[in-house]
Amino acid sequence: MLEKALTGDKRYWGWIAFVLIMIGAGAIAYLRQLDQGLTVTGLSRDVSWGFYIAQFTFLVGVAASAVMVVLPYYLHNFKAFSKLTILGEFLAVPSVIMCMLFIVVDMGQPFRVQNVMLYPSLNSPMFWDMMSLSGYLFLIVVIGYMVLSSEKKGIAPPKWLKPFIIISIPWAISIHTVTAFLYSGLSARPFWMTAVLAPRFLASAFAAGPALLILIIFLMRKLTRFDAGKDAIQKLAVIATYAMCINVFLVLMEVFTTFYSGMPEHMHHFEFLYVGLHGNNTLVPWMWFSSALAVVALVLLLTPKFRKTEVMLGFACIAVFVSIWIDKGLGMIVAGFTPSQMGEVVDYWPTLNEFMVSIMVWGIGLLIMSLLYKIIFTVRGETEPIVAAKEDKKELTVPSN
Amino acid sequence: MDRRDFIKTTGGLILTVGSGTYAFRILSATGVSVSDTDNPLIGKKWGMVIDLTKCRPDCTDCLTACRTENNVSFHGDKRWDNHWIRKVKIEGEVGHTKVEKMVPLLCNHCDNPPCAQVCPVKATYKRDDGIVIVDHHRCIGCRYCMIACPYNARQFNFKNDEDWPNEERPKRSHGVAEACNLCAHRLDVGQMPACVEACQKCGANAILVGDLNDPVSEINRITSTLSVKRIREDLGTEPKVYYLGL
Repeated sequence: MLEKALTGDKRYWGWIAFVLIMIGAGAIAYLRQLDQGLTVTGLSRDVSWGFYIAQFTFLVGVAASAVMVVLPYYLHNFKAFSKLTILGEFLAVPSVIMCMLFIVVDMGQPFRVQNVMLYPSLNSPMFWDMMSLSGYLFLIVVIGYMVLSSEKKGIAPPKWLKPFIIISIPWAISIHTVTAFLYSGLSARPFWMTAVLAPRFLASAFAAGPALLILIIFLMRKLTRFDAGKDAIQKLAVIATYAMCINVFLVLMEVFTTFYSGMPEHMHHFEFLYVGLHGNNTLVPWMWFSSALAVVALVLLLTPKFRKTEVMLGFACIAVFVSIWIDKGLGMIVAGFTPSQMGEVVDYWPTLNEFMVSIMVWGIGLLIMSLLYKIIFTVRGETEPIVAAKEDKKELTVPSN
Repeated sequence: MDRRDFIKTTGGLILTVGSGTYAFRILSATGVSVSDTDNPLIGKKWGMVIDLTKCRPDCTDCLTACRTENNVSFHGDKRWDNHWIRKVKIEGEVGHTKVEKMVPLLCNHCDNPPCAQVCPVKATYKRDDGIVIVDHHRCIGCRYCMIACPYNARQFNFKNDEDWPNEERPKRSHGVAEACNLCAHRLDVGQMPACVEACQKCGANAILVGDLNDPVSEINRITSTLSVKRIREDLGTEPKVYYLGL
């Protein structure tokens, strides 16, 4: 089955070549980092985690969000998701791998990574994060592979797979919970020390993940014969809507608790994000842009007429994804360090080298995802695009009821 | 049995046996506290008192002595310079008037050290005598300890330092964390830490290191009779550096 990824048309190989160039360019930047240490990044002794760890945090969310197609299909027998579960799982596989790579590129001594296994430290959330991520990767690889190979043979997946699928549901929740525990158990960092961090991570993940999946479905419909169907897309849109509402709600809870209590060490971090602190307002425009996108997304998603119009839904999904990426992938980590424990404000912005290393990791993720999706569509005989796709498009637009 | 089944079966077997062995290893992993010397001074509980009324605001002798003794790297760049001990301006109050104080800050050698708690490889640990120490050969450079420390006392070697003032003590390569070790190597042979010695030499004599377990020690006399403060006592980390006049 894996050999299906090795045959394809010019368009496919062109894309693979492009992704390989991304990886290569980033790899040069990573070699530079290996040689010169983390001085090539914007990190400092005050802001000691940055862009890499933020990408890790965001991508754990994308990985976990596969559960949003798996759960309705396997627990609620929601048939419209039957073709989508594998897409969700094969989106989670590269996401988990990217998470692991972002941790490794962040390490000062990456060649000692095996020490985490050799000296297991049950006190450390990082150890548990590694356990939950690798366990999740194992589960989704086994499930994805078995379901797809059964589909190829035209038979039902083997019975022994069912427990794996059931376990994978709470396991998906666990990976993002443990990721939140990395931050939320530290008395030194009041910005993260909130019980609502894990729920908030999950809510934002379950909004951004399905939004990304909808966008992928739209793209795949252009490129291949694959069509998830109107019901599936609309159900995903509803899931993203609920999750986005809960996400915004939880953010507002944070704002209330912080500012009504008026505790300075809690307020300073929010001030840094939204109005600037001690003259440092690097993230202020980004955070307001993120908030504006969240409002736009909510208006588009909550209005049935817009949600059911595919173009509008597409815009809403982009807004959700970008809004949450800025919040988690830029703001969340850096704000925890600003101000520092001693009240100092130190600038942080990712350097070009840091960005290129991230391009390498994203490239590896895209490569794995492209190969896996190619296998899915070849197995299903859906690789060629529908020629009359453009005419179909109008029919798919559903008028509001 | 065809090739695919063979790969599946062996793969499954290796995975089961491997994870089983590994689970056993995890479950049999024991405590963090380690003693790494058979010196008679072991069994003590080291603590420090810094008397701010004696410390001169513009004096940096202890900082220099520490840097030289322990090869603490300095590059002239605020982002990457390491300080096992540094002086920080802290706002205090006398009556209702705000005053600024220069406070020497260093690792507090907490009794409940958050850095050791979060370390994923047990590279940071607490010795039996209470000193929190980093094994920089095991450290993977994840910097989680820096994030967990409420005192901003953890340091990271962003780059290699060419200077090597004290060749009897190791330098650290780039990519590992470090912090004040209370000059454990000196205490182990009955000498006071470099900062204490420097402070005595400059005449201020503002730093005292002693045994918190010894009921008649000077440090216990001070901490029990005078008004001492520790930084962020509310966090429950039980820091072992006491300040007079904070």
